[in-house]
Amino acid sequence: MTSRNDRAFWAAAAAIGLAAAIAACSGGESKSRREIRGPAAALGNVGGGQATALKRVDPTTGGTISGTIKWQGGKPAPERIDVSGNPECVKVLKEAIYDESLVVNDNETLRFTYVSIDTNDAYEPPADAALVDQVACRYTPHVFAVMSGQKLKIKSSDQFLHNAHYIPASEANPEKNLAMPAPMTIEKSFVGPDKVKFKCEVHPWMGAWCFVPTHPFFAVSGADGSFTITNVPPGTHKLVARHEKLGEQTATVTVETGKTTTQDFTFSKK
Amino acid sequence: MAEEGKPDAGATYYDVRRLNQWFFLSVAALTLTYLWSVWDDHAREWKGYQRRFARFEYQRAVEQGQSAFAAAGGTKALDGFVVRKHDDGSSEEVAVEGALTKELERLRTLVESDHAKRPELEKALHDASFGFDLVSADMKQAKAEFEAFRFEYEELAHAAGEKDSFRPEHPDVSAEYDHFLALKREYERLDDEAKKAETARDGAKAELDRFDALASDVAATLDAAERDVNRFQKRADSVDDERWFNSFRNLIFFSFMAPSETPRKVVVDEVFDDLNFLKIPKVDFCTTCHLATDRSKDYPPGNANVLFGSEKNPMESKADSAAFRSHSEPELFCTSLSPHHQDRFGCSGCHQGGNQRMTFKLTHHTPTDKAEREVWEEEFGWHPVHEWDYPMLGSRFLDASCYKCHKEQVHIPGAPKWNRGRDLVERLGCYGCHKMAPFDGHRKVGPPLAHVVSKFSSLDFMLKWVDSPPTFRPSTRMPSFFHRPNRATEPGRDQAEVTALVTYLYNLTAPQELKKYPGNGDAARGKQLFGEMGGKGCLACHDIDDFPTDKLPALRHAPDLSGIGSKVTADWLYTWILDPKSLWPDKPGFPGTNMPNLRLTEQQAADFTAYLMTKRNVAFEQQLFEKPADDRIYEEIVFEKLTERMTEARAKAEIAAMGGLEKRRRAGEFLLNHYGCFGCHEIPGYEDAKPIGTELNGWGSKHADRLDFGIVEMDWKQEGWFNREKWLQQKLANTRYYDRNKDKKPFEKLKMPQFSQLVGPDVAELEGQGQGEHAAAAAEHAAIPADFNREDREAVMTFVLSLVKDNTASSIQKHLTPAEAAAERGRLLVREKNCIGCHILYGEGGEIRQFQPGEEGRAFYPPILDGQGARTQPAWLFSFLDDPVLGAGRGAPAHLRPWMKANMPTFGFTQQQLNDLVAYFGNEEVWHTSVDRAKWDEVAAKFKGDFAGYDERSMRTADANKQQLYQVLVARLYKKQGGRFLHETDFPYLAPVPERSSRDHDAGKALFEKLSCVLCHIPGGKVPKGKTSADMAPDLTLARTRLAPSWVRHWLEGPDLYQQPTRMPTFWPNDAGPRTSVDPNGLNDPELEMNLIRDYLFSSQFKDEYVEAARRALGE
Repeated sequence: MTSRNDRAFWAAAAAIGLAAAIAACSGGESKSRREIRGPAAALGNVGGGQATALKRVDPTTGGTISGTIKWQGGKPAPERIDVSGNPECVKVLKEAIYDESLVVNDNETLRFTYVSIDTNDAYEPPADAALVDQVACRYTPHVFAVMSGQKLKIKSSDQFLHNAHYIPASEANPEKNLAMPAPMTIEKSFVGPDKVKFKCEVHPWMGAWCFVPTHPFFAVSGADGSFTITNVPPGTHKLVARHEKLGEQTATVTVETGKTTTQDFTFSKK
Repeated sequence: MAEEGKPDAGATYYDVRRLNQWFFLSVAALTLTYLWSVWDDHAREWKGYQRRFARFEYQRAVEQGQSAFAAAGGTKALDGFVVRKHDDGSSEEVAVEGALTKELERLRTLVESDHAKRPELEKALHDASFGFDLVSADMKQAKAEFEAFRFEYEELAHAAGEKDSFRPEHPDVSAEYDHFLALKREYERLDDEAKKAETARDGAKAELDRFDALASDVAATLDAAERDVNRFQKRADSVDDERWFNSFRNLIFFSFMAPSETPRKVVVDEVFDDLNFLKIPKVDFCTTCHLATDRSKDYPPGNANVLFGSEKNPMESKADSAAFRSHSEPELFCTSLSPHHQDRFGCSGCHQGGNQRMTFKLTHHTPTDKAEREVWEEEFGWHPVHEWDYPMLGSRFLDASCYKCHKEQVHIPGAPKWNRGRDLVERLGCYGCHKMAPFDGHRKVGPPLAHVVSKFSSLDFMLKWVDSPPTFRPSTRMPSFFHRPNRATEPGRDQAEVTALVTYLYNLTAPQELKKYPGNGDAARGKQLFGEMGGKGCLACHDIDDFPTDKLPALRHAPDLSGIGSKVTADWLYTWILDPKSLWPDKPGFPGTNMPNLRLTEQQAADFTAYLMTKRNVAFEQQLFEKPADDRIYEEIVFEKLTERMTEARAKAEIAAMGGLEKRRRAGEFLLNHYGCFGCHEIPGYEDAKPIGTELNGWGSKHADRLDFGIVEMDWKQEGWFNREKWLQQKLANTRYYDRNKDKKPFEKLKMPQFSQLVGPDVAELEGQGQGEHAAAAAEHAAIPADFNREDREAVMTFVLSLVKDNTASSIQKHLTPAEAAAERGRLLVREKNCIGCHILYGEGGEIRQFQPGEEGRAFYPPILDGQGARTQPAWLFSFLDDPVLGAGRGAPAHLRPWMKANMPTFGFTQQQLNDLVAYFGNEEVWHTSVDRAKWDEVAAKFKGDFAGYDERSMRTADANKQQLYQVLVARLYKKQGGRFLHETDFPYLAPVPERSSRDHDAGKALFEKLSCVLCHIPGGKVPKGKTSADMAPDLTLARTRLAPSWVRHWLEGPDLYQQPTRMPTFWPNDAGPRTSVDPNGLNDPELEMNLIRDYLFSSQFKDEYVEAARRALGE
């Protein structure tokens, strides 16, 4: 080859090599760099929707539901509880105590009936706590409700050993058995909806029912058999009355803003 | 024409032009072939999957980079891009500098620009150092002088007899004293100065450092943040297929240099392929396409299908939305934290399949079911491949691979189907006819027939029973030998065979001495004892129609007693209930009955007998069994058998010489040997007889060619069913199926009996195919028949398929330590004796609870046995299992839980068995038996974080398999991190309880009283008025000899962790913060309080004081 061809050959080779080198190195602004540091990144990955916010009660638009739980069939004789197996209770109790699973008031109405709206809406729980007390060898109140997420104070006011053994019906709340050897208070809260049975091992007759609704539209009928539920959102609702021994009854109510709707229930001996 | 001297240009043999054309063609063909081969070699199936995976990896890297970027502060801190909106409405992405970068720039400029500052600081440092050195030198000099003179001075003082050298009295000494003081002061002065100089020097140095560091701190932060983000960017770049380089490196011709698309290989040294002359390690290329199998953090676990993947529809194919999945159960397989790391175990060791292949078809993927097969045929042109004998195990039978390494185990956590299969094989007694390694030397599954004449209510019943056991008792484990489809051509033969067999048996057996049933039993009381609130515990093993429930497994441990009154005599039943082992005793080589002795009083046994004798199966009793009218068939049977070893004439002569009874007996003898009844029953004279069936060891490796698919209209090969799974499925569903269309002599026919638990439709029917020429039409109209026993049948198939030839190295097999082996023997016993009928053990069992409903029933639940080894002292457990009432005899009440209706029965274990059981509980590796609880909790928390589905809530409702798996996996990790279990400490595994001083003893006693333990833990089991036995708690006098002290301590901390539900409250809860004390005004120390109570319980004075305290508290 002539030197001219030599030179041409090597020049071409050099050119190709240079081009290849340039091509290989030209990453430049890489696509991934733009994607990682780009605007999408600024928002960050929130990761799934936020839990939907809890609702709040609106007093301005709410209505009231009230009524009476009537009892048919005459007032039955109350069952007396035999506490002689627990001398510490014998000392404390001045008068006899009676079974609270079926309490008929003097005016032929039913006590301890839990009335609530049947809805799955989740409301914000109030800041103050509900209370259940073990006093004079009984759970007081016998039927109560605490909202999902609301604090429940479990108290013992007796000087001797009680234990608060609560058995929730739903898997979301674990079963626990808490000893209360002296007067004390324990705070717990539950995830609703649920129905929790309270009992005491030391005093087997002691029992209470705790409902855990996700909303505040509930009431328990009192010593006069009446119940009142306030600030109910207007509209048609299903109202359910539950009793420990007599099952449950439902009714449909329509609530109007500022007005009171009356709904009675009648239970009778099965 | 040739010219002279020149080569001949014109005359050739061939036409050159034509030759050139051929040459051209062949070159073209060769070139094309070459190019095609290069292309084909390049365009591999798996490259497409890798390319797709690269896109997912890119996405993942970008996402992770984005979160790293956001975590570092986003565009506020680091360089990035933001969207700038212009006035005219358009927007563009603009690069911005991050704040950190800006800050760094500023500081760097500051440092550089202030070029007067640094030399100044340097000089200051230099001066300070020099100054310090000077002063320091002076100080040292002064010190030396002082020390030297001091020595002389003190010598002088000492010589002069001075008592205090700082207050000299002697004149010579006091003269020198001033000089001494002067030197001392000089030294101290210089020392102070040196210290000051040192401080100054340090200060100057610090100044300089601070000046230098102005920039470096910020630089360090920036570097760290950038490094994190750049890491992901680099990763993304390496898989970004839009980058020129990434495409280039994988291009044809150039891909030899550094391709990113490569086959991935795992060489499994310890598992072999047996190629007849050679055993080679398995080489798996599966991860070439299944790229995410061990990446459980980045890719969700699931069916590791490469192409199928949307959550909604796993059969959705070839969609670009298809996701790669990591291997299901990452806590168990493939990941580095699991026991089966992918790099060591590979894939085909468990999944089987075409070794060393890399295409979908050649690796022998097996579709799970018909639907999947159809999709594969359509989408991928899948067809069964015949060249490799071990296609992949379908997902239905994957558990079958576990056994070849886990040979020593009776129960393999994580292989529920195999466990179920083993259970079924053990209960149904397949090993009675078919020899198989896991059951060598196992007990006979049926009762002994030596005294069967005393048991059966009548000969007629026995005939009907043998003829068809399921007619009497549908859930029976005894299979049906007669009235099978392959006997349809011989009418009357079945009845004759039954009669012959029973006649022979009756002649072999002898009556047994039985107790006489006194006849004074009360059936109503018996029924109460049997089942109310669980009764005496019978329902933990037996079924009966009076106490129905459908929440229990179909195959219970013991027979269904609904018709027992028709089957047995009252005397036999009475004797049996009083003491089962008296009628079926332990004999060397033949263990006795599994039914324990309930220690019933004679009256209770009579009540039971009265009740059970009322349970009759009237329909069965009224059935007619037609014995053959004449001896013809018996003669045929005897003739067929005799002619096997003598001439026909001689055989005829022998038969003619026999009487009727003799013919039946001979026929029965031949039939007994033919059907092999001795495989399940102990029969006098046949104790050493060998099982009659095919040996099943290595059956899982048997080639399909060796199996008899019979002469049936279906083309097994064409349907793709020519494999051992389908053969086995058909065999179990109808054991005589393969005799179809065959012409055989009666004794040549298939004789495997049919188990009603496994019966099912034929394979052809299940697949919707009819038979023969009407196949197409039948397929259109036939409904696929219901197959109720599919689960159980597949479980048995899984077990049988697991019996493969030994192709694993010993190093990869799971070898049990002596402790684990002892535990395994105990585990076998626990399954044999059905402890889980009453007790819950690691999530399994507790069947009796179905019969103890409501709150009332909770009081009668037998205790949960999790961690029993940690709970009780081994010596106590030994004597308890030996005799639960510790010598008190029949009808004695229980010591510990006197309120229970169903008391622990006496099993009559041998000493070896007792030791095995104690070892089983003691060697369990679960959190109860862990020595370091804190470490266990730490490991468990990390495990829950690493693997999904093991959180508190899921585990509460998880099934037994998952709970057991959790314990095993966490135990493994715990051990790896140095944790120990109780059985790894020395015998007696109990920490001794310290002897307490009398003051501590009294403190414990006071606490015991304060907590009012005696209100529930009443000694002697007396139930006070107003309470029921359901409110009682165990008697504490036994604590000292029975309980492990460390366990008592843990129990006090949280009873509901050990027994759910429990009536014992938690006195020192810690779920709402640190543990609270029960004596806040006194001891106020929860740990001390618990220790005091525990030590009090174990003290020698406890028993008397406890009884006294109870008497006081209950006001007697």
